[in-house]
Amino acid sequence: MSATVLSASGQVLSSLKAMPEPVRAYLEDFMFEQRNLVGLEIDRNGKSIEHFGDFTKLSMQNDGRELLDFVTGLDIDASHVVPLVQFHASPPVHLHLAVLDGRRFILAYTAESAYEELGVQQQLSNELSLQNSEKAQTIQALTQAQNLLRESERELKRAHDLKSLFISKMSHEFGTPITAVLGRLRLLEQELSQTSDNVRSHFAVVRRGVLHLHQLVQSVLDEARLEQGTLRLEPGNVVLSALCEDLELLFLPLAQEKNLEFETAFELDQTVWIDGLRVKQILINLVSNAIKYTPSGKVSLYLHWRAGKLSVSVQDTGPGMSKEQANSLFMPFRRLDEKTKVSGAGLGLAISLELTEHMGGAIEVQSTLGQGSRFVLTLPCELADAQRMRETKALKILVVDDDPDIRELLYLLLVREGAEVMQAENGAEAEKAWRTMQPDVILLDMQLGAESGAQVARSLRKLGAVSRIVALSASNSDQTSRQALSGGCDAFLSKPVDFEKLKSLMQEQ
Amino acid sequence: MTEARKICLLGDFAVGKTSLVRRFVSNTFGERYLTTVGVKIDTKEISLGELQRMKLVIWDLAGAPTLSTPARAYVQGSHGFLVVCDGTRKSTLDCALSLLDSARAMIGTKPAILLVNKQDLSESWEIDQDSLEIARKKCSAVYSSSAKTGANVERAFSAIGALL
Repeated sequence: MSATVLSASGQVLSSLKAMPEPVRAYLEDFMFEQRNLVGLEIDRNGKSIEHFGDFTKLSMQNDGRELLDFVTGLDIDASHVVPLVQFHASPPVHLHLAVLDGRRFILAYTAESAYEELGVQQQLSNELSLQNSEKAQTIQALTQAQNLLRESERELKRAHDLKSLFISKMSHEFGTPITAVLGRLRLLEQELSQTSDNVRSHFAVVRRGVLHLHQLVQSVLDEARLEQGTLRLEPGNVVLSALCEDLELLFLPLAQEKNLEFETAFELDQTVWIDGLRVKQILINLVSNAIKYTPSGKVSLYLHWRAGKLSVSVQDTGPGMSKEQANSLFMPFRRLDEKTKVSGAGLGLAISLELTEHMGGAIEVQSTLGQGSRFVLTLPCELADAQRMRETKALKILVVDDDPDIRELLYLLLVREGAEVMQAENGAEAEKAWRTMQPDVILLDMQLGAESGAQVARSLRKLGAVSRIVALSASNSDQTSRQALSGGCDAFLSKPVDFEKLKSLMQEQ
Repeated sequence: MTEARKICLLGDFAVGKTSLVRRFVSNTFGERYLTTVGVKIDTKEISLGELQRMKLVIWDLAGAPTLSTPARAYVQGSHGFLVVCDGTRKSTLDCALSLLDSARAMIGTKPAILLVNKQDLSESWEIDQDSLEIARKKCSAVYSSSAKTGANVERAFSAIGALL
């Protein structure tokens, strides 16, 4: 095999005979020694006739039979050049099927340097492409996840809006009749002073039942509002002695039924600026629990205001609690002892704590098993400005509400307080009454059938009304409150109306 | 005498062609990706029924989206094709079919079988049944395979052998 050699790129060179002897010797040396040239001569059927070169240098069998696989399927009467071929685990070679002078040769020589150079480039390039492909897939997956998240957010908002709507509707549906019933009960209570103890007792039962129902409804709705962050505080003037009196009226009969002593006291009879309804709600929960769980002895309540803080302690001589019990006390639906027959949904203390925290305050529990419990409620608040107070009886008041029961109830309550009162069912009647009366205060329902109370307030302001307008609504949402205030109302009060708070709001300047 | 038949594996890079051959020839699998440079030639005898045996000369071509000049030399004389795509990369299906078209344009319509590889990663597959409609028209059979688990590997090589 000295007639022909192959270049590194696989091109068949011309006969070596035509070259000068030193070149021929150099190329022969290069191909045989450095490029490990090996070959087979094959017949027309592709069978080996002769082999030459050291195949073991290319990790092949001595006779180079692997090379015969190369020609499978090929037209062996034509030359072929195939670069960079690996047989099984052998090093890479360049291959030629060379037809020379009617003879067929399979020639192979090492291609390691080209293989390594190309291999490194190709590996890097492919890995980079794979990384880009993975990155694109990750971005696509992230985009899909983002879209899903957006859709979930939209769903969540829709659900949240529906929940808000439900709470708002329920507030209205429950609030309106309960306001009417409680108001009428208040009137009845005042008229019952001359009637028999028996009737008063029946009345007390009815009042307690309605109050309990009211508290339950409020608890459920408050829990939902707190959860949604839509609970609004309505601060007003709260007289500490009046608060004690209210709680005594409410709980003394209950305590007496259990032969318990119930005592309330305050340090100074001050008036503080705080959401009285919510304070009362928290205290009702604390006191009613103390009475429920105290079999004998005493429940006492003590109030004082000092340095911007209202403190109320509720102490009982009940069985007390272990540390574990005290720790789980404020969890929703937890009862101190599930086996007791004490009634309630288990929401009261949880809501009390949430309300307290919502008002910026805290509840501290001190209790020892067998030695009773003491709850200390602390709420930040300021003393009310006495200059802002005025007597209700001097006021001229216009009540605007489409519900005749509520209208009539407010009329009766306010007249009883000595106010001069006119009623209107809608915006047109309100304007007419305003012209006639020029009232000091307008109590304006925010939902007057198809009319919006905010629109009516705006119209009254356009007419020149400088009256204090107190918006009333069964909806306690921030949105309703904002609408009322932007329509020209001065204050907002949710139904069921707390009459003391209403009086306080009417008196502000 | 055992007849020898040449088949070429065509497909984009990193679809698992070399791994399929390793699984078929030596029943091994490696996780690490090592690019094929040029072409690797392996052989394995298969039996086609009780009496007939066939030596498959398997040309495992370096993966590329198009048929390069060296690849055109490799494809010469092929009796059939195993075209391979990666089930987790949809673009590799189009690439596999395009390579098959190019190869057939050079040497004529030879039998082909499509392997949708990496069945073991089927939870992140991008190729669905609808996108295989065209492949079914161009190939005699379509298999989902896994060089990692060996699923359908033997079956696919035997099937292409039977078609040659």
